[in-house]
Amino acid sequence: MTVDVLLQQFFNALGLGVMYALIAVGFTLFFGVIEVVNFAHGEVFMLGAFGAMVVGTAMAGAGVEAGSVTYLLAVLAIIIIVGALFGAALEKFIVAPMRGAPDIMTLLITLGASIVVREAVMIFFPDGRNPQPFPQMIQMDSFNIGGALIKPETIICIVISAILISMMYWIIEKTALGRYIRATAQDRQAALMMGVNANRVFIITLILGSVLGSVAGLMNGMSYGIIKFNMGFAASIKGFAAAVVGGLGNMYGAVVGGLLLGFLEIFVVSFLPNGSSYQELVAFLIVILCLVFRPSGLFGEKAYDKV
Amino acid sequence: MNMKLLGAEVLLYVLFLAFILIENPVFVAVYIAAIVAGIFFAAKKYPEKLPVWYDLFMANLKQVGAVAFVLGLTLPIIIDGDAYWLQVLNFAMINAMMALGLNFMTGRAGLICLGYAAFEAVGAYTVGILTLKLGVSFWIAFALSGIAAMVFGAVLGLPALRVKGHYLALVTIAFGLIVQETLLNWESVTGGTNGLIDIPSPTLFGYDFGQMLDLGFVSMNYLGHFYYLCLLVLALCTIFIFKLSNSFFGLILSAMREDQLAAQCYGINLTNYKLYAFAIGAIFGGFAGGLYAAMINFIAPENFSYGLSVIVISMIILGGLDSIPGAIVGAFFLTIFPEKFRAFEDYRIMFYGLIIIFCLIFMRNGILPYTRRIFMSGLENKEAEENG
Amino acid sequence: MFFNSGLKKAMAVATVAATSAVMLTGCGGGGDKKTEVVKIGFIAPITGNNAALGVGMKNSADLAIKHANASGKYPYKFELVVADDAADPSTAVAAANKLITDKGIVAVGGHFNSGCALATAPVFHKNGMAMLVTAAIHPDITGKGYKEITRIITEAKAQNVYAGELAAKTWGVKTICLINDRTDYGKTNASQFGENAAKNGAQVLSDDGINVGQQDFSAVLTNIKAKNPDCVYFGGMATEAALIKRQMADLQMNCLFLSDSGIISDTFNKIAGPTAEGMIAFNIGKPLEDLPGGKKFMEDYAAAKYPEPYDNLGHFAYDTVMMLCDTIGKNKVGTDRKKAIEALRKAEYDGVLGKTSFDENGQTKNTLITTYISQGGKWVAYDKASIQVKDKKIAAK
Repeated sequence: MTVDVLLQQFFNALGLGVMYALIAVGFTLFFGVIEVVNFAHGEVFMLGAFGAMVVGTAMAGAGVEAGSVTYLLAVLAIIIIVGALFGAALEKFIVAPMRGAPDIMTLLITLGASIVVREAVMIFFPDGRNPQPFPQMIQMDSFNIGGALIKPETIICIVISAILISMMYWIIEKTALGRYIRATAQDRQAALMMGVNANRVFIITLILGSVLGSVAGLMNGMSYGIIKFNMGFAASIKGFAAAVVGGLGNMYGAVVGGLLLGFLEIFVVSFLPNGSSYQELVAFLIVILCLVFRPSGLFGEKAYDKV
Repeated sequence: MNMKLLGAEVLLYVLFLAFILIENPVFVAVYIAAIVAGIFFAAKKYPEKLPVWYDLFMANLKQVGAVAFVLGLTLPIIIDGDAYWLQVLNFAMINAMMALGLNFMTGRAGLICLGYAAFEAVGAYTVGILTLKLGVSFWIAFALSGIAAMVFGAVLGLPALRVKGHYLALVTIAFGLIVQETLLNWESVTGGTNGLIDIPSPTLFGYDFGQMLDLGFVSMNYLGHFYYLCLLVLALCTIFIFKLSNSFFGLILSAMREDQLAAQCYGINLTNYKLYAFAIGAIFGGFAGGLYAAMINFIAPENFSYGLSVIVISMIILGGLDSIPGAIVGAFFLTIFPEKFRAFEDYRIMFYGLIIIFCLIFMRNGILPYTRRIFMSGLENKEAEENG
Repeated sequence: MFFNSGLKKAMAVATVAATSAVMLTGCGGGGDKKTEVVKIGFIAPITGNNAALGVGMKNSADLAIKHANASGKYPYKFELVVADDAADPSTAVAAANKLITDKGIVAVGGHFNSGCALATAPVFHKNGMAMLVTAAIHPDITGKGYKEITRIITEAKAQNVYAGELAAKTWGVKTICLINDRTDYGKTNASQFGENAAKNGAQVLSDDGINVGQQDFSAVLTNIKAKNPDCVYFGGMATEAALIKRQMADLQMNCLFLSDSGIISDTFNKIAGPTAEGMIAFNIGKPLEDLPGGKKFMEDYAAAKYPEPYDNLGHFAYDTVMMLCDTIGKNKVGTDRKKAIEALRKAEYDGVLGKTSFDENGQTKNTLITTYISQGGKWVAYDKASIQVKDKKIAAK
């Protein structure tokens, strides 16, 4: 295996890894703060991609050049709107009514929500059953780095992810809102007593996480150029797996978990015989291995039951 | 013998028959709406009588079950051996077995499983491979299908021992998909994507289950045999799981579901009981798969997808988690109802999703709740905690 | 369930309503009693992922029935009974059982995909009902030796024998990388193409499996690029083919890319966008306008004013049902299922697809294969396109 092939595979892995990381951060945030595993997280990923596609196609139809500032701003706006609306709706109609119910029921209801959203897009979106072409948003040639071809989309995705994850870090560690979120995550009762409006923290957390998911959907559309109503399932499974490997509730763990998963997938295809058949399975094997040998993830703290 | 209950059950049976026999989807919708409205109306008008009836029902489950079994025997004759409805009813019974098993794992022991279809796959392939490739008698293969599924349940239980609810969801999804992948890739044994074609029908003392079933006054095709076989297996499964749930063992699993820590404090070895719950719950999936393989004669990995696991979950949620009659009723309803609306086939999966959401928000204990109790909504719980 | 007296009243009302509903629906029939009515069953995916194709098939089958009745050649009044298989094997078995129960049905046609036909073939065999398969191309459907099963479409292997020879001999392809989507369909096509190309002197460098629903093929394509093959063959369906084509373009791989009939749809051209140009695929059948009865079928279909198009398989469905009617009519089969099976095996029929008769397995002797190339966002028959394979690359003619 020559250097340029290795380098190419490195960038392939990086592109995949950052996308998984963005989804994983959402999962881990929900779990850490609201103690909910949100199976509907994959659907905001799908809705973000569809929103961006609709706006992108409409802008192109209205004569706005792809890649121009207006164009990108409009796409960005719809992504944020989709994410925020989805997060808020999720809290209002799905998560809030289940507060106080056993964990298992909350998990199942998000599963139900994810089915309904996915099937609704399939049935009601025009030609929604078939894959949709995603408009080309950037017009630039690929970069040639040491014989490896890197798409501009890949670089943009890496940059956007880095910025978003740093922003999340900043929000959680440096702002008052972040203090509330951390406080709620640590001890909901105590935070309530200290005057933190827990319901508001919940809704903001869901919105933040969902916007990240929606951005990941946009990145997915840009990278592969084709989107489909059921794209959320695989994405959510992998994001969830990455979050678990990193330790549910640990944001930095989620980032590392996402990258790890991306690199492992590409590694399996590159070096194992007939590895491409198993690319989609890697996520599951690593999760099971991880849970057997390190149940709380690579960076998770050992959980103790509170009496 | 409680005659009031018997009368009620016969009436229900007639209603069920009418439900099957009405073909026009509009009438079906009107019919269901009328029944739901009737129940709602009755509940509003005579609120004190409902619990009485419910207690009567729960106190006489043996009688209810026996009557249901006898009525079940007459069903193929009444529908005149209609092959289509026989097949739908057989599917309903196979789904009911799966719902019973999943209900034991998830409803009783509180161990979430999103890969239950894998157990059906194990059972189906056990029967398929043994009877088709090795020429083993169906009855031996059928017994082994339950055992094979039990072994797989225990294997799945192993990683599950160390993890709690949320992680378990992921592990079980992964398990389901890995089993499906294995079936796809292990071509020499499982036939790969082609699956196993032409699995032989069971024979009993030289009597071939694949032939017509002629009862003299009514004749039906081979599905009639499977109807009675499914009915028998379902009845045995129900009795078994009922006894198990009411035993001390069942009580321990309940305790484990409610509070793992407290259960541990009472000296219960959670590790063992989690394994038992998985292994026993899986058996029913194995039997369901064994019957499926022998009846359809054709199995492929795509028949045992994640989607099926979710459908089984919606069945036990509709029936009420941890409710045995609920699991059976949920499975029957969710199998037969969509058949009435084949024209709306596209909405089928969404319908299952809506059922899950609707039940969890508005009737968390399903249509046939396990225990009668007033469930405090989450907010009240929280307030109670805060005030206390 | 909860009961009390008030509820019982409500239930009684409901039961009466239900009974009358049954009677209403039961009395829908009636009609012309002068000529004997013979029913033909037809199974197609009316719902689900392949509904568009299935509805086209259903309409065309309906058209065939109308034509058969209008022709006056046959002593029966034919009726079509359509059942839905949703392209799902267990639904297909239920549909087959539904048709078998109806004593008026003498023979059945249909099925879009092989999974369904493979699942129902034993059911039709067990119940002694003739089945003329419309569009499922798996070899085993007719390879089992069931006398009930016949097939009007060319089977899958013929397409790959043709394609392998064309690529290796005519186009001079020396090295090939295979990819398949690990479905029965994709895998069979890819391996048969590889075998036949190898017979004609080409060398297969690799054979990779991917997953349906997978998005990222960058790693496997990077591996393939390093091997520098003359041609990549993909066995599978449109979505994955389009994703692979796009990612090949990203990696600036410009070797030939061939595939099977599974990708021939407008969806492929739509989602592959500009990268679709030069994609080559082999299809069983011929463009409708080149078939003997193609023009007439198109005109007739347009005249019948169905709301949906006949889509890719309409003419196959038309010929299936027409052939059934023709055979039953000419041989005076009536509703005798046994006689229908025997008559169908010996039948000769001249229709839209040309002359159809069956070999000892019930497989049609009529072999129709076409090479298509994607040009300007459309599938064009290879010999009519203005681009072609020249020196193992796509070039202008």
